[in-house]
Amino acid sequence: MWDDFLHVLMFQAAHNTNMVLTSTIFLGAAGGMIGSFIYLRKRAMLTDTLSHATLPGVALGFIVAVLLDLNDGRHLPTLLAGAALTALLGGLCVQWIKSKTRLNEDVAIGSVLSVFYGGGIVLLSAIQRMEAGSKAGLETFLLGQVSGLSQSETQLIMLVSVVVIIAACALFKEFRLICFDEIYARAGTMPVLKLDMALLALMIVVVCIGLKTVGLVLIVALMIIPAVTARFWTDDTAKLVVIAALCGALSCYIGASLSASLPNLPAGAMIVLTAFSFFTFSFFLAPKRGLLSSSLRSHHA
Amino acid sequence: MPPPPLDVKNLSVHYHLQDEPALSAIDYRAEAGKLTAIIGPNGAGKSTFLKAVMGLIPSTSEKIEAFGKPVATQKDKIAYMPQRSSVDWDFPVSALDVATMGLYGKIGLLRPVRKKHKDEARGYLDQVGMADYADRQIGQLSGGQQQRVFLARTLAQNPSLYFMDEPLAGVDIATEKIIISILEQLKKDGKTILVVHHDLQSVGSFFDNALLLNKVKISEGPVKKVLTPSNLSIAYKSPVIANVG
Repeated sequence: MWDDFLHVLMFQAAHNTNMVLTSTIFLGAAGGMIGSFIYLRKRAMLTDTLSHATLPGVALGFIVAVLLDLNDGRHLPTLLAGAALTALLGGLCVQWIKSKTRLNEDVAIGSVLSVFYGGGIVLLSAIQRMEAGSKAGLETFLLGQVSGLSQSETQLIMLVSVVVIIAACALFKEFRLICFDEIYARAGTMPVLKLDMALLALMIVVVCIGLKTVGLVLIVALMIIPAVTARFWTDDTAKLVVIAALCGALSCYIGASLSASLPNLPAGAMIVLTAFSFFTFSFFLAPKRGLLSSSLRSHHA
Repeated sequence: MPPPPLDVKNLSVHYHLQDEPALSAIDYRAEAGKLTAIIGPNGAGKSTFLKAVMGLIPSTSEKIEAFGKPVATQKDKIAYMPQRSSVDWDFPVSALDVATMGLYGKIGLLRPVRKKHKDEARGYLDQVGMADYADRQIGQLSGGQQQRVFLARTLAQNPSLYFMDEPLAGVDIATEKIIISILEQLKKDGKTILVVHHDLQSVGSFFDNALLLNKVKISEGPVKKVLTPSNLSIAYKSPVIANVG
């Protein structure tokens, strides 16, 4: 078992496993980066809602792909397009409930999450009864799986991750400003609404490319845990983003390797637990903000 | 005659789900090159006035113009300094990072912050006596120091028109002195400055003009003309004495 794990970790497993592992590392880096801004913008719960809102889109994408006779329904671009579409719709619903009714954001977020997820589950069971299409494996979108990604799919994930990382670097200064002081940003010349939309779009893109390996239930953790972990180690936004990207990448690398080498452990859960172990380590032992150092300091004070 | 730095006509603000308007039918023209205090009791709509002018909250008006053109098109000539309470002090930025934000408009969208920008921002921190704290995380500064960093950010924008929301609220004496001397320097440089101010006692000694509000405009003009006992008792609904300097 341990040998299997090391085998995967050292990229000595089958070629396909290595490819999946590499793409997951890219995904983790992109997730950690975008997650830093999501965390600083205080949009973690919105992210969770939008990732759950991808489920009906995945199911609808599958049905469309079956109707169009694409790869027995398991045509990743179509599934991801559906996922992005319903995530966006979920986001619009949250915005609409917030602005047009007296309900608070947390009510809007909670109800959109459960209604969209419920709708997705119903669509999934309807699909199970469909004659056509090879629906086996559709449920792995919930918790993620490292096997079963084709070469072109891993390439798609890597390519999109790189694009997300480049976009996050290019917009770093703008994202930092709208996260730190939105009112000041709006008083200036910066297009704050468009930047917020860009951040939301990048977040939905990360959710979508993470659906197959991390799964939609846990993808929010891959974005938020690395960012809060990084916060323990630095007071600088740029360093926070870099550390979060490293932590996300490392969590994916170790978590996906564990999932690939041990039987019946979903990749998403292993990745999130790995990230959580980094968080726990930092929470107790980080030099300035960790629990140990701050309790030592208050003891001396 | 050049158009005034700020020309507001019939500005009203009605907050969502509130019965009374926060501001009604305000007409106001700022005098160029003057230091003006916006005064009035708590809840009079002083901050609301600045926010509405900057387009940060919904409002109705016939005209909100800066230098003869709509404010929305003149934002590169205007700097707004929000109230200190509006940000998360645990945010991972340093004093230098915050001051540099004042240069973002000049740096331009998608372009990175370079060393020369940081050096320039450091100069503004130096002006407010905060150069030694450039690398300090913003939450680890005192209230007055935080306010000075925000002022440095505002100065970095190098605008012609300044809007400042309570820059002197809750600051230490050293900070107050620095802020006042910078306001005076800006005035000498021909800038127009509008400051929300809460302390009637000091209005006369710091400011040229005043705009007295309480939901409506009660008076405007030179401080001595505005701060009369009758104007103040209308604004504060009780007798108040101000030191008109």
